[in-house]
Parts: sequence; structure tokens; C-alpha cells
Amino acid sequence: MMVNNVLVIGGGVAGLSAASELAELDIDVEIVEKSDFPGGYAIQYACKATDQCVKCGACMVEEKLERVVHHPRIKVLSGARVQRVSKSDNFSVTLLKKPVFIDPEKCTNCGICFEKCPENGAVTKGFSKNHSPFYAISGEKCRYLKDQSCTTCQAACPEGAIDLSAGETTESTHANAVILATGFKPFNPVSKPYGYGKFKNVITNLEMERMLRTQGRALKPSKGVEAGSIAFIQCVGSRDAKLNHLWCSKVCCGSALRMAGLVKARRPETQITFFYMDVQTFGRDFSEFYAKIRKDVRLIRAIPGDIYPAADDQLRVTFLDNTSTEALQEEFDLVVLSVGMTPCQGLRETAAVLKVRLAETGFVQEADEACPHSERGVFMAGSVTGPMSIPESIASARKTAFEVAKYLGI
Amino acid sequence: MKGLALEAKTLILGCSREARKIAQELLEREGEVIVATPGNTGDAGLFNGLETARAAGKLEIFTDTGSFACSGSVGRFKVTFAGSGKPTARTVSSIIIADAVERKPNFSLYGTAASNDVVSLSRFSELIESGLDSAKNILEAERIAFLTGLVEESNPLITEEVMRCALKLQQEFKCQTYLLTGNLKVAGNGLEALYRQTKEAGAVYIKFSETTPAIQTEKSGKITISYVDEIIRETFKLNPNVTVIDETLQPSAFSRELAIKLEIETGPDGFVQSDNVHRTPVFTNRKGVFVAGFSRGVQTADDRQAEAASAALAVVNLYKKMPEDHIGKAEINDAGHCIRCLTCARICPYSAISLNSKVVVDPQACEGCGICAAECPRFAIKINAGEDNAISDRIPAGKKTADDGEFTPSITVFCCSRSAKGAGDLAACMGYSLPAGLQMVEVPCAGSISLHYLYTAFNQGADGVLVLTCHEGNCHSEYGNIYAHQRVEQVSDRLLQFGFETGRLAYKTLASNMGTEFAETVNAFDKAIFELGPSRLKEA
Repeated sequence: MMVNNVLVIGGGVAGLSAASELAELDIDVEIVEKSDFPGGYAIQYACKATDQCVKCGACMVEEKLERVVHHPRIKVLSGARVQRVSKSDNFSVTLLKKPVFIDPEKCTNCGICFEKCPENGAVTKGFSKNHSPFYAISGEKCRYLKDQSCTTCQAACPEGAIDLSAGETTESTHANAVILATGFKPFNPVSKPYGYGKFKNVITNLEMERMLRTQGRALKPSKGVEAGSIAFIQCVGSRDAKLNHLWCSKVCCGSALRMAGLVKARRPETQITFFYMDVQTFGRDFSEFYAKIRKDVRLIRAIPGDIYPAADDQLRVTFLDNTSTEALQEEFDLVVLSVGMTPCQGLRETAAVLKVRLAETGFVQEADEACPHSERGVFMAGSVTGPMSIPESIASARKTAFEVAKYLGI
Repeated sequence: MKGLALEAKTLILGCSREARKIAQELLEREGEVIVATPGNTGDAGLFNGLETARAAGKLEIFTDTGSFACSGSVGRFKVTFAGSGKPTARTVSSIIIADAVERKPNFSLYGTAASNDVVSLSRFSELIESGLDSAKNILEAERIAFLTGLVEESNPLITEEVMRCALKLQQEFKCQTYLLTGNLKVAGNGLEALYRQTKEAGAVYIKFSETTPAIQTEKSGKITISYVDEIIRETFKLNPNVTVIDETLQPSAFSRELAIKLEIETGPDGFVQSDNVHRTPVFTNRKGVFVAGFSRGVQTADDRQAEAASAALAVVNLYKKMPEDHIGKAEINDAGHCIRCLTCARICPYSAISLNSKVVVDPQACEGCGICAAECPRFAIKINAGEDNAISDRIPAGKKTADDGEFTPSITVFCCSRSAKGAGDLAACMGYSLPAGLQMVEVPCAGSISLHYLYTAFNQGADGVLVLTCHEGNCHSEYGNIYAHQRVEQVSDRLLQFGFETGRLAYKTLASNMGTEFAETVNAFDKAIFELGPSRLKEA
């Protein structure tokens, strides 16, 4: 009797949704997630409701993660990557697992390791209550892992849950079908003239989401005080002919305007400017939302040029406004770059291993009747095939789960 | 389908590609399907190719359904069609609404009227695809203008059609196209690339954000468009030979009728699904009733196909699950308490309560929100919460003030399980310190928090009572949070009349991922209660 077993590569909202649906059909699922904290990017997003829900979908990711973590048929392997895949009757997969530095059985989430660690970023924090342990040790920044020069967290842990000498392990597993749900990579705006990486108060929309989720306010990273004026710059890395990124990332207009709405509701005196090309529709009450937000936020239909440092810890943004033919300049406390979604890292290699095709954009080509990937048991879900919102990723994952069930004869 | 809990018989309402796909998928799984379409026989061609299933008695197709009625709930919906011929009744386990879209041309929106030279988008697409023998004016046109998203926002579906038409015109017909729009909607696969392609082929885009073009119909029937180019700030006049007007995509009349007949909450746009994230992708407020494709909203062909699969999956899941037991469901005490006022039946967001000879809750459809129990004027309903788990058993007693006079406020917090409970857990995870006197009472839905529970909390010595609910528009029971807010206000009014400090009772909305806001809210409330001092209702 064939035991049905599916491997989901990627524990973002699509991977979690697909796993959840398959488990409901009595199929065993393993999710391989490279980060310590499953949920992808979406689990890091803030709820952007004021007193009314703005339908951003962030809470849905929490629900999916909660369901997955508690489902007896689903196993989540965090800090794990797929090393090798081969197929005969079914798929043989070798996984490379990160060392288990913090024992989840012993950890009580007290946070002492985070407090005591001398190296900024070496102990990372989770996002959701379903991230257990809530802390993890980063391979890149940890001093012990570099030169064994520091064992502060190990010594400080009151439960003795930390073992810095733990090593990587490999694990072999089998699956009847594989779902590729590795999501996207946010565009790195370092190549743009906005000073990202140089100026502390130039951040990405993802960093803004994280800040709103953990602090509830828009703070200037340089000083930790609330920003009096904020500029949102849209389409950074999307709709960009020079970069050959000929796609719209779909969700950034919605997420930026909703974040603007939240900031305004919490601190009404904040001045917010939104630099855009075309505002994309989001949500089913878009007209109402758009009419309201235009009263609170200044919309400028231009994408800025260079950004320079200015006096008083501010940033000078240059742009061409429609009201004059000269370049204008304005100062802001905080600049948020709405970076686009790009194909995820290493997708070319993954595609070669799993024998899936890439579209011209570099995202994975959706299966169609001409070339159904399902013939070989490899499926796709979520933004690995192109920019998607949270509801779209969930819908995509459900469709994939249905197709996998068909393939397995369930 | 094997090993099923419910009979695999599904009713699909609507005439669309999605309806066909769902029917196909369910038939492949050996389910039985009834398809009912409102339309004329022309549409029934959509279901060609399913003759084998039809012959085997697995598929029934009703066209021209006429008046439609439905009673019952999940697992046993009784539906009646009364079209041409005598009324037919069927019993089905689940219902899927998947009709086509209605396209309303926006002639009047742009101050125009249909004519030979002023054409709707779908008509225009038809003409240039099928051949232009009947459309000499298009063939010979030098300038063709498309008006889209100028008064109301457009969408990627319409934008794609407009751009494809423009591309064809530029490449094959050598006419100059002008696309006048507000925000160009390119948030769809391949649309940015298509936009660039049309530009390279010579299409001219004129975008408006601050101004709107003035559109005038001359005596000759031709259109003159006067506008200010927002980039170079000069006024222009455009005289297209043919003007193409975009369309608004609306739910079909059939969809709208079904929403009313089946008691489905609709969204602000009239589509058959409430604008609530809990409903995505294909769910409604009623168990066993699903909605997909254009009945649900405006979406691209790919998304609609994904939804068809999603609807089929939802049905498969439904049929596989064991019937629900009674734990967590509402039960009505008929012996002397229920007076058949039907408040519960009218207020149930899931349409799970009906009147036969008694008022009865269908445990299959009941989601245990507790709104009925909280609203019943006779306390005749309770939620079967299992031993000692009833809400009333869990409302804590306030702590007495310490002998040394130190006052730690006893705060009773009613937490909705879907939002505040999660937020509270997250706050603890994030390491926030919460007030020492905080005691949480988790409830299935804020709508289950009755006036009685609020008074009880104070009577048992709480110094402060906080009600934490989902945000408006986010309640799984649609209005549970609204009812909770209303009840808090009612009790506050009463407290004012009693001379009891109204600051001791408050409510706030939260989501499950708002750990910081949970901590801020309870700590601020704790501080406020500390200022007010111990409650006079506490035993001395």
C-alpha cells in the first residue's frame, strides 16, 4: 500500500497552505524551510487595521502557520535545505539541516540569550507565537561559529538549552510528489541612487512592515524617534526597463498605502508623500479606501531621482513634479522604498534539478496543457511563479494541493 | 468517492468556464453533479463533452431555471427550480455559485452614447477578431481612442483587453491608437510587458491624475476629446474616428438573486462573498455554500481557474470529513424557555437555525460562535462547551486588596479566540510584561460575550473589564465584534446611571499578530484602573 507523502520546499504562506490542504486529505507532508522561522515574508507583515480591517491578509498567514504547526500529519523542518533530488519511482531527497543550537524541548523563550549576546544580529527573534523556540542563532554573525571566541549565550541560558558545538546533519527522505513553493526574493535597492545601505533612514517596505509589527510606529532607525515626514517610493525594481524587470509586483501599492493609513491613524500629524507611476487596485473596497487615503496622503505621480543627506538628520529627495518643469527637492525624515518581488535565489539551479522551466522573467513557468509538470510529480505553488498577494498565494496553493491529490489518486 | 461522510451530490449554479471545470473535476471523482443555469439554450453548449456522465445519470443539467428556492443546510439542501415546465426538487450536499460576469458599458459615465463610432470594448474586441466586414469605420479609421478608468478605477482584465486591441490595431491596421486612462492597471501576469510592447508598436498613452478629459459628442456623432497633457501642461484636442468605451464588470443578475435566496453576505461591490479575509478564496458565511470565478469578484482567467480547483477541493474536503458532533455547538432548551421569537434564527450569521415544529440548530452548519446564546432574551440557548468549559464558569473573581493596602487591579479580559488570544500569546513570546492582575477569558467569538457576562465580571469583583475583539470587517461571524461593541456601550450607559465609573469597562479591536498593541492596550488599561482604585463591588 502506497503511503502518500509529499515534500513541500518552502514554508511561506503558499507552502503552509498547500501542506494544510494535503494533510486534510490524509496525506503526510514534510515542509523544508531554509529559515529558522517558517512563514516566509508574509509572517513578518504587520496588521494594518486602524479600527477597520483593511484586508491585507497578514492575519491569515498566522492562521495557516498555526494550523500547520498543530497538524499531526505535517512535519516542519526549519533551517533545512534540499541538497539533492533524484527520481525513480518516487523522489529521493537529501536534506541539509542546520545545527540545532537551541533545543526546542528545553527552551522557554525567556530571551536571555538575545539580551546577553554581544554581537548584533547573532541571535535572531521570531515573529509569530508559533515560532518555537522564538529565538535562533544566526550562522553568519555568531562569534563562536567564526572562531569559537564567545559562549555567552550557552553559559547564560538558565535551561541549558544551547549547544554551540552542534553540527550540521543530513537527512534522507522520500516523497511521491514535490511542491516547489520557494517564493520570491525582495529586490535589493543598493544599486538605486536612494542611498539604501548608506543612509540609516532609507528602508525597504519589508523593513517598515517589521517595524510596524514590532513597534507599532514609524520610527527613524537613526534615532529611534517617530518620523515626522515619510516618503514612500514605489516601483523600486519593478516596471523597470533598465533592469529588464518587466513586471508589476502587484502588492506594493496596496501595502504602502495601507501602511501610510496606519501611521496616519496612530500619529495624525505625520506628513506622508507617495511617489508612484500608476496606483494598482487592491481590495474590494478600493474606491472607498482610495478616496479616503488621498485626503491623508499626498500623491505625486513621479519616481524620484537621487537622494542626498540633508541637515537635521533628514533626507533630500529630488523629483520632477508635474506642476513645474524644474527638478524639485524636498526633505523627509524617513524614506520607504517599495521594493519589488524578484525570482528567488538559486532558482536557476533548483529549476534544473527539478526539471522545471523558467519564464522570461526568471520566475518559474506555470504548468499548462502543453507542458504539465505534474506528469513527473513536481508542482508549483505561490510567488515562485510570479508576484502574488497573500490571498492569491493561498488560492494558488489550494489549486496545487488539488492537483497533487489528483496525481496521487486521492 | 470512497469513505465519505456526506453524499457526494453537488449543485453548481451558473454558466461559466469555472462552472464547467468544477463539474468536470467532481464528475472525474465519481461525484454526482447538478448544473443549473439561468440562461438560454445557447449557453448550455458550455457543458458539451460531458455526455457520458449525463448518460450514466451522474450529471443533470437544468437550463432556464426560472425561480429558484432553497431550504435546509449543509448535507441536505433542498432546492427547487421552477422554470418552463413543472417545478423540480432535488436534495444536494453542497452548492457552488459560479456564474459569468455582466459587462456594463460605461457610455453614460463618459458622457457619451453608443453609436457606430462609439463602441463598447467587448463589441470592439468582437469586431476586430471576427472580421471587419460590418465595421468599415474601424478598418478605415486613422485615429482610435480608448477611454478606460477615467472616472472609476479600471482593472487588469479590462486593461489587458484594451492593450491587446491597441496592439493589433498598431501592428495590423496601421492606425494610431490613443489610450486615455487614470491609473494604468498592470497588476496582472504579463501586463507590464504587454504595455511596453504596445508602446513600442506606437500606441500613445495619455494618463490623467489631477484633471479629466472633456468628452463631447459633436452633431455629426463624432467625439471631440479636449484635455490637458499633465506632463507638458498644454491643452490638446483629439478627434478620433472611433472611440472605444470600457466596461464595468458586475456580478450577474443570477448571482445577485442567488445571494438573496441563499442568504449569502455580499461585498461592497455586490459580488457574492463578504469582503472578509476569512472567506478567501471560495468560502461564504454558510457552510457547504461556495462561490468561485466571476460570481465572487473581478479576476483574471488564471485566477478564476485556480478558484475552480479550489472550489472542487472545498467540496472534496467537505464530503470527506466526519459529521460534526455536538461539542461547541449551540443547543436550544425547548422545555419552557424558548418562546419562538426567532431572534436566534434571524441573527445567526451561518443560517444554521430554522423553525420546524421547534426551533432547531443544525450542528453541521453551526460554528459555535455563541451569538445566538448571547442574544436570546430568555437565556434559552447554551453552547455545549463540554465539562466546566462554559464561559460563565470561567469568569474569574476579582482579587481582594492586599492587607497592606497595596492595590493590584484585577482586570478581566474577554479575548476572542481568533484575535486577542493569539495577540496575548504573541505579547508574552515577545517578552512584554503584562499586568499582574490580568485574567483572560477566552471566548469562541466576541459575539458570545453577553450583557450578563459583563455584569457578572463586575459582580465577581473585577476592577476593570476589557473586551478585545477582531477588527471590524475581520470577524469570522461577520458581526460578532459589532454586537460585542454595542453591548459594551449598553452596559457603559447603565453603569453611568448606576453611578459606577464607566472607565472600568472598555473595548478594543485587535488581530492575532498584534503582540505589541496587546501589551500596550492592557498595560494602559491597567494604569487607568489603578488610578480609579478598587471597585466598590468587591467584598471589603
